[in-house]
Amino acid sequence: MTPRRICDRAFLAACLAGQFFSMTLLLGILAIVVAKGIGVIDWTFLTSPPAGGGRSGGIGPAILGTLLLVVTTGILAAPLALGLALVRTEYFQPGRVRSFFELVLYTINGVPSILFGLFGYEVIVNRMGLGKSWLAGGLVLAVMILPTIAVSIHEQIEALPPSYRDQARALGLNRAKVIWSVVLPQTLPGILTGTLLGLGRASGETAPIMMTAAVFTGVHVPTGIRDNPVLALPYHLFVLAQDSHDPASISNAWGTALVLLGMAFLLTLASLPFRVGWRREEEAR
Amino acid sequence: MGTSRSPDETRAGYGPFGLSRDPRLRHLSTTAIAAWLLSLVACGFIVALLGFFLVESEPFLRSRGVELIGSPYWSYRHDRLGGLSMILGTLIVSMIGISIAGPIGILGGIGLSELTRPALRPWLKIMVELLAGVPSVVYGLLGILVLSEFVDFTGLGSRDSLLTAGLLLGIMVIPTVFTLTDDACHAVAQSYRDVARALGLTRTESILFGVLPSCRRGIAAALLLALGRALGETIAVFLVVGRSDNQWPGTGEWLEIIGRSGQTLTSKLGSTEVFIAYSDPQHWGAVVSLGLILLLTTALLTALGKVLMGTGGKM
Amino acid sequence: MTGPVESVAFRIQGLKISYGGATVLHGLDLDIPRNQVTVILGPSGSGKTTLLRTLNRLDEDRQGFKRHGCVLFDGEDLFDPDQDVNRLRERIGLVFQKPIMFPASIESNVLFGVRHLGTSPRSEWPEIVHRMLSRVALFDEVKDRLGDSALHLSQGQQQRLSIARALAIDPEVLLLDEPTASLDPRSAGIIGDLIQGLTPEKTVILVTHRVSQAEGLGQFLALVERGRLVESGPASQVLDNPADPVTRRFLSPGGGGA
Repeated sequence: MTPRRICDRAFLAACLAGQFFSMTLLLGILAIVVAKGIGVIDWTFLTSPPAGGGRSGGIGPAILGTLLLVVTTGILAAPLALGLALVRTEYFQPGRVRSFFELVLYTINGVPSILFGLFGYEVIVNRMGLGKSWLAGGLVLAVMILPTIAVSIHEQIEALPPSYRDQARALGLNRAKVIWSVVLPQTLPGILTGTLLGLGRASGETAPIMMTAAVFTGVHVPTGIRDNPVLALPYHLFVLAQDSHDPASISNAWGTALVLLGMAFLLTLASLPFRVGWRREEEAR
Repeated sequence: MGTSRSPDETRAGYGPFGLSRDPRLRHLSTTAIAAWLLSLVACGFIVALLGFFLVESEPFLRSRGVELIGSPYWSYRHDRLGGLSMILGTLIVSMIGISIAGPIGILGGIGLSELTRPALRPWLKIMVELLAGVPSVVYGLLGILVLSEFVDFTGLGSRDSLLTAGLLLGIMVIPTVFTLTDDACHAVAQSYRDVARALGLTRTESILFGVLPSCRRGIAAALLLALGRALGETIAVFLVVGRSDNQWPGTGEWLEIIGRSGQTLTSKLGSTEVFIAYSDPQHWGAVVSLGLILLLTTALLTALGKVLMGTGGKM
Repeated sequence: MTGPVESVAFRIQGLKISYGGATVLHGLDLDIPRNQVTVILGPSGSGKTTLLRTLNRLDEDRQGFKRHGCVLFDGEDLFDPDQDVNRLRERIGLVFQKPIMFPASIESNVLFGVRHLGTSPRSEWPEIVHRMLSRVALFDEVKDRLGDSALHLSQGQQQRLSIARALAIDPEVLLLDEPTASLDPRSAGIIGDLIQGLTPEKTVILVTHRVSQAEGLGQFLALVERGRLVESGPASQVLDNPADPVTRRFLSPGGGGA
C-alpha cells in the first residue's frame, strides 16, 4: 500500500471514528441516565414533593414548576420574537439594519446563561420588586430564547418567494393583510420550530432560574406572582448533585435527570417535524 | 378634469435606516402597532441586559479595574478582588475543551457530511440535535459521578479539577462543532467533489482539497462559537471544577494546576457568593465586572463566528 | 391627445420613472381609452412593464424608485398620497407574466382576493368560483378537483386561474403583463378569447412584444421603445399605416416584434 492510500484510509477512519464517538456519546448518556434513573421513577416519585432535603420523596412540584416556567416562557417569548421578526422583514429593507439585527440576535444567543441570571436577579427580582418568582424566571428565560425563535421565524420569512407578496399586493391587500394572509400562514412552522427548540433549551437551564425563580424546598404550587418561587427540575437536580456522598440523594438525582432529559428531548423532537417538513417542501419546489 | 395633488416627484421605497417610507404607513394598522410595540419591548430587554453589566460594573472598574485583571488573589473577606486566577481557570478549561471537541467535532462533521449514506443522514442529524439539547446539569451529574471517577482513577488529576471540567466541557461542546462543520461542508456543491474524484484524487484528497477549502470559514466559525459556548458554560463546570480560589501557578507548576481544583469566571458567578456580594457595592461591582469580562469575550467570539458564517446558519 | 375625459381611462402626462439612477421611462404622454383592449407593444427592455405596473402603483415597492409626472385615472390623480392604494388595486387588477399560485387549493386561490378583502359574502363564494372558472374556460377541466392543490396545474391552467382570481374581485381595469408568453398555443388562444370577452365592460391593458397579439386583440395600440412613446392610436390605423419609421421597422418581419 502506498503512503497515499494509507493516508487516505487513515483519514477516513479518523472521520468515521469521530462520528462514531459522537454518536456513542449520545447513546452512552442516554443509556446511563436511563439505566440509573428508571428504577427510581414511579408514580409516587413523579407526584410527591421532596422530603428530607431531597433524599426521599419525589419531584412532583419540580415538574409542575418546570412546566409553569416553560409555558410562561413560551407565552412571553413567541410574540416578542414574532414582533421582532416581522418588523425586521416588513418594515426594513435588506441591508445594514437587517444584518445588524441578525448580528445582535446571534450575539445575545451566545451570552452565557448565568449572565441572564445575574441580570434577572438585580433588575427583575430586586429593582422591580418582583422577588424570586416564577414570572421573573419566565421573563429571563424568554429573553434568553428570543434569538432562537426570531431567527427561526426569519428563516421562514426569507424562504417565502417574493412573488407571493407581489401577487397579494396586486390584488389590493394592504401590508397588514399581506402579513396575515400570506406571511404568517407560511411562517407558522418556523414559529413552532423556534419556540419548541427554544423551550427545549429553556426547560433544562439552571443558571438563569437559580437566582430568579427556583428554590429547593418549601413550595408546592405558587399562589401569586410576587415572591412566589417554584421548584424546578434543573435546579433540583443541581442541588442534589452537589450532595454526591449520599446515595439516596444520588439515586433521586438520576431519577430527576431522567425526567429532565425526557422533557428536553421531547421538546427538541417536537420541533423537528416542522423543520424537516419545511425543508422537504423546499426541495420539492 | 382633475388636477394633480401629488408632489411633482415621488420617491417611494425606503428611506433612512432602511425604514419603509410608504406614506400609507401614516395610517398605522393595528398589526403594525402591535409588531412595533413588541419589538420595542424585546429590544428594551436586550438593551437593559447589556446596559446592566456596563452600568453596574463601571464604578468598580474605574477604581479597582486594574486589580481585577492584574491580581490573582480573590478573597472578599480581605477585600482582595483580583480575578486573574479565574480568568486563567476559564482559559485552561476552555482550551482543554476545544482541543477535544475541535478534532472530534470536525472529523465527525466531515464524516457525516462526506461519508454518510444520504438515507442515514437525517437520523444522525437528529441524534446530534438531541445531544446538543442535553441540559448542562445532566452533563454535570455525569461529570461528577462518571468522569471525575475516571480522572481520579487514571491519576491524571484530582476528582474535581480544571482537567475534569475541561474534559467535560470538551464532551459538551462536540455537538456544536460537529453540526456546524457538517453544515459548512454539506453546503459545498457536489461538482467540487466530482471534479476532484474525476482527476484521480483519493476520497481523502478530494475532501481535503476539493471541499474543505470552501468551508474553512464555516469551520472557523464552528470553533469560535464552540469556544464561546465553552467559556460561558456554568453549571457543569461548577459541579466538577472544585471551586478553589487563588489557584495561581508558581514557577514550574503550570502543568500541575490543571490537575488541581480551580475556579473559573463562571463557577464563581454561579456560586452563592453572588448573593453575599449583593449587599456590598464594591463586592457586587467586582462580581458584575467578572460578568462583564465574560460578556464581552463571548460576545466578541460569537459575533466573529457569525460574521464568518455569513447569513443564515444555525444557532 | 384629445378626447372627452369620459372615454379616457388613464391620462398619462409627462411620466418619468427611474430606478436607482437608471431612467426607464422618459416623459411619456399617453391617453388610454376606456372599455377597450389597449396593447402596449415594444421590444424587451423598452419600459412597457414598468409603465403597466405604474398604473396600479406596484412599481413603487422597488428600491431606488423615483417618479415624476402625473397619471389621471377616471379624472382623479392616481398618485395622490392620500389615495388608498389598496382600494385602487381592487379597481385596477394586475396579472403577472408568470402565474403565481399560492400553496393552497384551486378554490382557495380563486377566492384569495375575495376572502381577504371581503368583497363578497361567504354565501356567494361557490357561485363566484364557478363563474370565474367558467369565464376562463377552466371550470370543466377542474370541477372535480377544486380542493386539490393549485400547484399541480399546468402553466396554462395556472395562468388562467390567475386571471380568474384577478377577476373575482371585479375590477374595472385589468392589466396583463405578457399573459401568453411561454404558454402553449391552445392556452394562449383561450386567453386571447377571454381577453376579448372582457370588453366593453372592462378596460383591458396588455403588454407584449409580439405583434401578432396586437393584431389579434388590440383595439388601441401604443408602441413604446426605450422608455419613450413612439406612436399610439387605434390599432388598425397604427398597424396598417404606421406614421413613425420606428414603428414601421418594429412591425416589419424580423424587426423585433415576434
